[in-house]
Amino acid sequence: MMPSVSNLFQRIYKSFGKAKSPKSSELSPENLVRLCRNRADFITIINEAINHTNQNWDHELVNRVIQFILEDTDSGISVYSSDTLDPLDRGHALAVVAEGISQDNFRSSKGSKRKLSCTRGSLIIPTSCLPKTTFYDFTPENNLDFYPANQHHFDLTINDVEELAVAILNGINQRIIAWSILGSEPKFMGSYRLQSAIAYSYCLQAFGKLNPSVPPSNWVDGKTITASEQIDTLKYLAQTVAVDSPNLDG
Amino acid sequence: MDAPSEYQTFFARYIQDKPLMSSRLLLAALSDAEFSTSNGSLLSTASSFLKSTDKRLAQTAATFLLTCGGTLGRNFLWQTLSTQELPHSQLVKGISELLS
Repeated sequence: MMPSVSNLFQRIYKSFGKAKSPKSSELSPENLVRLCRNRADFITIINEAINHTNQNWDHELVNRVIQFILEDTDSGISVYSSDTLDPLDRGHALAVVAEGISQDNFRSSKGSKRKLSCTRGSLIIPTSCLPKTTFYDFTPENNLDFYPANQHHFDLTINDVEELAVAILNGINQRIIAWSILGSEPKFMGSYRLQSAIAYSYCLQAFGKLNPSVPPSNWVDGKTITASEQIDTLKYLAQTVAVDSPNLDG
Repeated sequence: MDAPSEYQTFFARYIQDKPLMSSRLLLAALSDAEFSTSNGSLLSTASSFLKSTDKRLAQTAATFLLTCGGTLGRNFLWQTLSTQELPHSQLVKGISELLS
């Protein structure tokens, strides 16, 4: 997709190796969060990366990073900005919810029993780790169905996918890239519910009271999920009804 | 998620006879779906895969035991690690540390 003029400047700037952080985090995020849907494969990639002792990476492992983390594509790969490498950062939490919210089995409108969580792996990648052949463009319009994450959404364009995969493996090995393994409570302390609760807390602060029947006027409908159902799903995933002091109006 | 014990025992025999890749994909799918089991046959079959020379299968079996097998699965893993030489013991231990 067509980069904006400011993104184009950023690319030129970066290609000359002079990238410097402008004030706006939209132009120059500190870190980018990437979600992986195959948790078991994600776990083996992390495990092999942190236990790696040789100089060179096995080609088969590099290919797995390309397949499972980069999904075999070289453009339009969704990532989300995060201020810190901490999985409890709101940027990470918004990324987790934004990536998963379109799943049918979270929907209240689908009739079947709703799921409370799903399994994911996430990487939090400092932008300084990215090779010069990988670019990121600020693309809020490409975040489809969770409005609060729009301002965190970027697309990656990868000109050398193997170089990026190796950079990811090096970053994990050197503990420069952070990761998180998400599942249901209580098995996974880094649970999907916890991430949803962090996202909910941020949304409360940013939008005020969150009532699915009367969504905040500045919360925009998504491509396929209305603002009302986004809020309903977020509250369901965060299990807000389970806390000691539920919303007064239910 | 749960399934009758006889089905799980049948499934344990079924994946034993499958090509390694099929066994790995099935165990990974069960782990991703947060399947839960205390079926001895299934956990024993998964433990036998820890000895595989295929490092992805060995790690996936360890992941399955720890994410689906609860305390019993963890015991199967440690029993195998402490009593047998595994081709990829370091990676199997790594999974155990990652998921502990």
